[in-house]
Amino acid sequence: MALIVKNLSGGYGQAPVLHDVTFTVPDQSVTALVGLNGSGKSTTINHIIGLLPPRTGTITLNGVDLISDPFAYKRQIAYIPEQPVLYQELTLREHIDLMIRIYHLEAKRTWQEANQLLERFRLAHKLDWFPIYFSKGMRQKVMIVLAFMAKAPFYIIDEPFLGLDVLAVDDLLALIDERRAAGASILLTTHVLENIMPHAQSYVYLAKGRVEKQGPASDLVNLEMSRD
Amino acid sequence: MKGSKLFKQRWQRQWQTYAKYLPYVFNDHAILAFVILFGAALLAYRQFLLTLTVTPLTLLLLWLGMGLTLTIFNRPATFILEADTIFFLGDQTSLVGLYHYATLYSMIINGFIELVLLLALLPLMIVLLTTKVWLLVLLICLMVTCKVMCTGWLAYRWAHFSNDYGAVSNKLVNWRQLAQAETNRQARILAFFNLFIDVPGQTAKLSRRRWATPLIRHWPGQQTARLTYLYVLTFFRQDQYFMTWMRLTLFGLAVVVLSQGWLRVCLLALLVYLLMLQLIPLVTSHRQIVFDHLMPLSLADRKAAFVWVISPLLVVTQVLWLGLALVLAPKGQELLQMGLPLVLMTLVLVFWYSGKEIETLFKRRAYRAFKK
Repeated sequence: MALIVKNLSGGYGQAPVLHDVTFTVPDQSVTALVGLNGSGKSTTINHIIGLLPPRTGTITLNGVDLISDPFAYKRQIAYIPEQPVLYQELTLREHIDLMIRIYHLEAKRTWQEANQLLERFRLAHKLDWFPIYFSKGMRQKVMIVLAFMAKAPFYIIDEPFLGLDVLAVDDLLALIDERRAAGASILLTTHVLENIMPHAQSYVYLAKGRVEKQGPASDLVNLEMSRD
Repeated sequence: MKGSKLFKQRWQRQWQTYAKYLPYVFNDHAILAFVILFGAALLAYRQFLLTLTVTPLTLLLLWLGMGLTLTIFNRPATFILEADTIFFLGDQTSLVGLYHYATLYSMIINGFIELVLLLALLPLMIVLLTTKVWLLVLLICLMVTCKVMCTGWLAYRWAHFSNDYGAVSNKLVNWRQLAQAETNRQARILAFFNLFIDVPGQTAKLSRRRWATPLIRHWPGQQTARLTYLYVLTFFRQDQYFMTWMRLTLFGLAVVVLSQGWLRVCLLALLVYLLMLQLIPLVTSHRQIVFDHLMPLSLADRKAAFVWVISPLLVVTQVLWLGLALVLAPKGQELLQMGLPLVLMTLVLVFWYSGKEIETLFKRRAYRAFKK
């Protein structure tokens, strides 16, 4: 298993948001984390990427525990947040250079990969622009390029389709399939189930901070989300 | 709601916000440094007054200085929020009342600032202009009145739509412009607090500075400390850091010209300390970006990167100061007296103090990632 989340409880402040959350993301697969607004999807993601400490439970990624070895753990993750976050003082080119330096990536190969992604998402002519001034969709594409150029073993993608145009959605889904075929695992949250169903292998349904259901992605068709 | 009540509410809320952040400004060694700097500045001022003579140049400089006080202008507060343009659409009476009180408040504040500045110049006025108290009081009153009236006039101009021929209508108020003016005013004040603690929602003023690109590319330490690249870019592109360095370096040059001996050394040492204090926030300036928490970088990595950024800057600053001192009085002993303490202090600040301060900053700021 790539990601193992076991008995995770946690949240913000004093009151826990997540209660005994347990699920796995298998190797070389795409898992969809679904649920209504306020069900705890983003809180779960925040725990998995190490922004929030678990009150109880463990999170392990490819055998590395988050608490015991946070650096080795985080080095495996490429994360695309729901809201694009970029350095306001860096151009697109400088964002790519920064990632190469921070993660000790091989510059030539990474730039080749980045250039291909930039062409694919129609950003190649914007290298010397400041992404902070791009439209929301374009900033989202920048996040996708930065995440996927590194070829990480595990991707966490929070609501990837928001703000993307139709072509970009298709490109992203194709990219997810390519990375999975190349051996990566992907955990993504989305409300747009029809986009992800053909590409995911499993799903986890959260409700009120608990895992309500989980299973093969084909079951998403019959998933009923409770209004309670 | 009456305008006066609304003004009181907004004013109290503003100061409640400031009260949250002020303890982070006036703490640690900063307050001691400010007190010492103030004392040293007073001493230098006294010495300067004792050697001052009445000449056309000194008189001109005094009048220029007094004229300059009129330009130190705190932009009028409006206390109008963006949401007011929607929620008070039906009844603007309260907003008009709020704006009148806000204008009065700004006129008082600007008048007070002008009075303080002129009182600071009063010793110079006594030496160079006149010792007649009534003349000095009259001059001060005139200038304060001028400042107060300018504030009122500016507030009136802002409030109304205008074309090239003047205000379009005295009754049609430009509430959006007033709300924007208030947002800008608050942003400037909170940007100061943002140097000491993360203030949510702050965006820095950026300048591209293309001329710095070759400097950034060849900046030392980028292979050794991975974050040096980010910090150097942030330093050159965010005005709050670059302009701080420029200002303090230029201020130091003025200190080199206007003072000498141990007073000069003390003032320059304090400037080095202030420079360090105001550039250390570089290290935490991206804490609101999630990737700053995700990057596999320890506190030691961040400290090392900061050392690589600050060291060349301090070298340039002190070379400029020493260079000017050399030009003014090329005496080896004086240069040594000035240079040696500065270099020693810089080494202590860069290699010991900055590390301690960065650790404190990280503990202080909202930090939810794991520490190694």
